[in-house]
Amino acid sequence: MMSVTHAALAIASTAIGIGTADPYVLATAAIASQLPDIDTTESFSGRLIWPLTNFLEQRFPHRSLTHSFMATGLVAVLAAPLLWWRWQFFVAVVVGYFIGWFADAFTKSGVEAFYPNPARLVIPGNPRARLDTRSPAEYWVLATAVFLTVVSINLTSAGGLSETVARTFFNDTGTAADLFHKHGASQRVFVTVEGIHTYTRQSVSGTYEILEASTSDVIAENVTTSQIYKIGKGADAQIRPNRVKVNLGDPVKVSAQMFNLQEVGVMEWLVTVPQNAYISGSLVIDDLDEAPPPSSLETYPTIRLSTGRIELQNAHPQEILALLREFWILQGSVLVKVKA
Amino acid sequence: MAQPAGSHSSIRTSAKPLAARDGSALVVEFREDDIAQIISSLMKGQSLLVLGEAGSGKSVLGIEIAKRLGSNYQVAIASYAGSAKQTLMAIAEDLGVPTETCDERPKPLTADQLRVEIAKDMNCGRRLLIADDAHRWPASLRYWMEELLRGKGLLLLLADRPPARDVFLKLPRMELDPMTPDQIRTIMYAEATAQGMAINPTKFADLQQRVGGNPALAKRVVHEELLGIGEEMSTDHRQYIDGTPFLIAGLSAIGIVRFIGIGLGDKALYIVGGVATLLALTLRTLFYTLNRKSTRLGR
Repeated sequence: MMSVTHAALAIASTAIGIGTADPYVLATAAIASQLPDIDTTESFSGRLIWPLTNFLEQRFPHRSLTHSFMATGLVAVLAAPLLWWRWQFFVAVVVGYFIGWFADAFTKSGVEAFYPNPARLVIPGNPRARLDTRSPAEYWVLATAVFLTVVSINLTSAGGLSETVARTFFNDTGTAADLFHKHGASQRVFVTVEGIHTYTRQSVSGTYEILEASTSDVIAENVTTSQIYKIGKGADAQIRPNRVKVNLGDPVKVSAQMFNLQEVGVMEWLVTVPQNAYISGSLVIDDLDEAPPPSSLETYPTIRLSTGRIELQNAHPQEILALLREFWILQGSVLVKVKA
Repeated sequence: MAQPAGSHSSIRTSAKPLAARDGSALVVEFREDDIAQIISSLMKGQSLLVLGEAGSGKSVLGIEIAKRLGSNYQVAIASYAGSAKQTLMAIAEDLGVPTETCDERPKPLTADQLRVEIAKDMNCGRRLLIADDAHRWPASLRYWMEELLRGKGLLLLLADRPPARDVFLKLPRMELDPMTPDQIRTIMYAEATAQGMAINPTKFADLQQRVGGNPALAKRVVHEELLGIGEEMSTDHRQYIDGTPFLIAGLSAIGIVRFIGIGLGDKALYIVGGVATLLALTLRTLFYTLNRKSTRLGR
């Protein structure tokens, strides 16, 4: 088998096996796949370590000692220190080496996989069905390996195979919530929703960024209007979706900070808060009876009045300002989230 | 220039230069332990069945044993080449049993008479019959050999995968081990030298893949290389393990993913696992079809 086929197969197996797209890890696998062939001076790796190759070549048949489970175990032991650094590299070395010789079991000559037992492992048993070096069949194998690598790397970048399947076939807020739980800490998560508004009975179609998610519902902000809605099948959802498509957006860092407020004017406090913050928490306000009811009824109630206090959930500073500009906060504790 | 592989090892005990010894001499040398064991067993009056794949050196072994025991025993070596009578005649001649009637007008003995005469002679003791390629011998001769065993006849049967019945079951059997890579390399080197060829170690290592532990194949691949017809990888030795069942089993294990999917209520994992399971089934069908192996030579 050609060394490029070994490399391609090793890369494909590593990429699929551990779901990585890291070029350094894949390159390590490709290099490791060349190591079994140090038993012949016809290979590049063999010419590189000539004295060892010469030693092996004079004593052993080709594809014997180095093409075995024993040698793979030895390589695994030697590569073990990598586990303390990055385990992906360890897997790349071991899988790369293993594939480097295991692929030869599909060739006419087979490999002495169970060395020191001299029996040669062959798959399939029928020699005519096995591969010849540089035969059209080998080029097919090479092409398939390259294709699988490309597919795998694409899937990995999109979150892996099962996630891609979920996003393709299960277009509901459950999938969106799962994805948000998985990636929400580091990436923006968007949903493109088609559905109906529960109260207004208008059809809804738009893109929203998820702010919070429960098991099957999400609280998301319309990217154009900055209105916040609860989307899902829950009783209190504003939007009932028929189709939800999830996309991962740019990387994002969310910082959260707790504030305990005491005797401070709303205006005075909000000046210190960034304009793009999301504020959750509860405030006890002086003369609460005089506060007007929250303006918008068809969106998610980010500001709610409840027994003598104001409850906030992902409220924008502007909303609070619009409603409570002149009020005085007796006390309260809030969590301020800011996307950096 | 090629270096003799194995020249570093302790295998070479003879002082003769490597090239001066032909393949058979080397086989005898490498099989010395087996020969000693067979001879000691025969000396104790114990008949023996020796098994080995075609080309493993059984016939060479038989001839060597005949030579070494020749002074103590009346030894007959015979193989079956299509005629039971010819085989019997050859045995009778080796043993010095008359093959003609002892009256005024001698007539050749019939096969039945030969059987009786040889059996009688074998019972006199110090007679050894070496049956080469005993797996080919017809039932009539095998039953007769059983008869010999019941008497005092001493038999050495050399066979390649004989059926597990009659005389083959009754004898203690010994299996010839495949030769070590070192020994095979030495035989290949000797053969190449005898043919006046210079082969480099890379080529030796490459050719040796087709040899296994079989000395006859070791010589054959060198000749094929000499004739330039060794391109097509021959796979004639027996030291192969078909890994297909392991591969299929491994692939089928992917089906586990589907059940993990069901168990965890992960629909996506269920779908992926299901698809993988069906792919494994498809591959299994494919591999089973591919594995129908022809025992014929040629395309």
